[in-house]
Amino acid sequence: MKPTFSIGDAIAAPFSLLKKKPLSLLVWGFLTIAAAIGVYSQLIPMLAGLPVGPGEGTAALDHYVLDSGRMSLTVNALTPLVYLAILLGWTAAARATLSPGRGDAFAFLRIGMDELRVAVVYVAWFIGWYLIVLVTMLIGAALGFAVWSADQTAAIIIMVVYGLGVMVGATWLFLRLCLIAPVSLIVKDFAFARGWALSKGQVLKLLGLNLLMWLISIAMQLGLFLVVGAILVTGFFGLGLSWPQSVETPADLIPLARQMLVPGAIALIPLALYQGWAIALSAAPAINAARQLLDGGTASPSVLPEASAPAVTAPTAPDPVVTGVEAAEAGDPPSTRDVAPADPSDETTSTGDSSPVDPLSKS
Amino acid sequence: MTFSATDAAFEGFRIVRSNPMAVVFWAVAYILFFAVFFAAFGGSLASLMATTEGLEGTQPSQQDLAGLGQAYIGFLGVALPLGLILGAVLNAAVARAVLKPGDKRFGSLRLGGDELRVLAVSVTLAIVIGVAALVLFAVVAVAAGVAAQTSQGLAVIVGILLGLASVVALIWISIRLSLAVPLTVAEKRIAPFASFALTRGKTLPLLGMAVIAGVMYILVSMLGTIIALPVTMATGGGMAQLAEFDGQSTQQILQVAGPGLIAWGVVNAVFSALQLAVLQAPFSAAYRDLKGLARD
Repeated sequence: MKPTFSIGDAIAAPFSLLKKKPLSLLVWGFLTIAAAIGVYSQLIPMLAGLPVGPGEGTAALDHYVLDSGRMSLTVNALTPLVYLAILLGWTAAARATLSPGRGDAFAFLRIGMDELRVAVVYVAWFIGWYLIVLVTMLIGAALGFAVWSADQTAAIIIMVVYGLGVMVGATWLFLRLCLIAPVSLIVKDFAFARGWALSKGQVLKLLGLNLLMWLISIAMQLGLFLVVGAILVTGFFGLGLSWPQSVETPADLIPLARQMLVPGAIALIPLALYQGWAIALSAAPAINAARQLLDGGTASPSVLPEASAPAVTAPTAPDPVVTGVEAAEAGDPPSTRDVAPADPSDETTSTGDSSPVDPLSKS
Repeated sequence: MTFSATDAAFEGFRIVRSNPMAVVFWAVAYILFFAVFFAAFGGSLASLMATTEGLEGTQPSQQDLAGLGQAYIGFLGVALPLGLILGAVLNAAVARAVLKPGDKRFGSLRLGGDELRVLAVSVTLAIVIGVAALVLFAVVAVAAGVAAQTSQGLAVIVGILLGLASVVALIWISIRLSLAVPLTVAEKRIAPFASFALTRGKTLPLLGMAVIAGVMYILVSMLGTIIALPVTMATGGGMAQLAEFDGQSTQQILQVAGPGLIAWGVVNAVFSALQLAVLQAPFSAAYRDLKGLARD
């Protein structure tokens, strides 16, 4: 019987984290917000001097063009810090999802081989996916160009059909690839082939899951805007503030911004919680789905044995992928095994599932 | 013979952990290269950078471009042979660090027969792959040109499809030849094409290993950029400040910008050494595992 997963269990995973580990979510949110503020605050000196107001468009643009080259160099160089914070939050959320009954002094945050593997998978995935989509689009453009000289109507029809085909294909590819990072984290090895094999026959369910995640994130964003807006508006009027008479550059708003520091700091709490939740939403459902599929059924982690009960290990031969990794890690850089307390979920990685061994792992 | 591509991909990190001094020695080699190059051409480099900066945002004349091209060719004339020698020494050191981990002296850096053989093999392979690229893309251009007689669109399709096929073919050749350096060091012979037999049936795992190593190389590079930025900003701007010293001698430049250049050189050397380990060591590990050699 083909393994499957429960969308309900998968989509419940981030809500479960929100309910059981709100502090961890706050920490992940603060971490990413701090990184973003740290990096993008570099732009403040440039933005503060931008002339605003009627008739200043050209001057603002000139000013922006002049400064943006210099500033973007710094910001671009530091932007990976934001990605790093998101990566740490993602793996922490994944770890928390896999250990539903356990607390963690570091909010499940680690820096180790799990993070490296997930980063490598996502960068390779990003480059590969974009390259394939780009090349496919180029071929389509060439096809349209070739037909255009013969029949323009046919060329338009072909381009539209081809474009739709590319969209469907790109989405399909995205969904087939989306379990590679979760599976790599769970099995503690690169799982390109295993993640690919696991998503076979699950594309529609994964599409449903991703659509559901998207809808939920929109609803939550609207809620966040309402809450943050309410805090800021209440702060503004509660403090008896008024909008400055003349604003020629954003720098003229700095005195007002200073007075709004306290409401701003209060607004950071729901913002961080949302950010942490958004990270949990991007990680937990995929991790939960991958875990269910690896287990060969619909058992969700929330019903898996807790830390006190050793998790089930396959009585059959050990998983060659995991064995290979353990052998490799014997003389390897520190993995999360080295820095993290024993995670009961780790032991369930060898599930005896019949998915093929990653061809990259053994040859 | 068990070769795990994902295991081999991490060989660079394994070296860094088990033999951190090797990275220090490799970084020192980079620093020496930079120092020698700068001592010889610091002043000219500043003039070249100033000229390049001066041309930014302008419409350079043919004469400007010709002058700039000549200056670059002059630098390349010196930097290329020096770089090839440094590359051979460092690539041989990485291979030795993986294949003979017990011999850790000087970070496995040597200057002898192995290095000469690696140099010969590297140059041979660079020429072979360069010629292969030239031939393949010439075929693509001719085929696209012939197709253009019928239709411009057909020419674009032919160009894209054959271009892609050529890129795939070049990647395939590069992967099949990728174990040449460790093979040269291990077997002490110049056999640039012996790697072909060794990699038969292993192209996909080796490609996967190379992709993983390449991505880790990018990640290390990003980390290097993040760390280098505050260091260079705090010490004056690194190489970017050189253009300000147009017309001054190397000694005059060092008196003013010495700390910044040294900081830039050290940070870049350390990260270049790390990137070297991350990118090159996996191929030596693949050779070791495919040959069934002991890990010591």
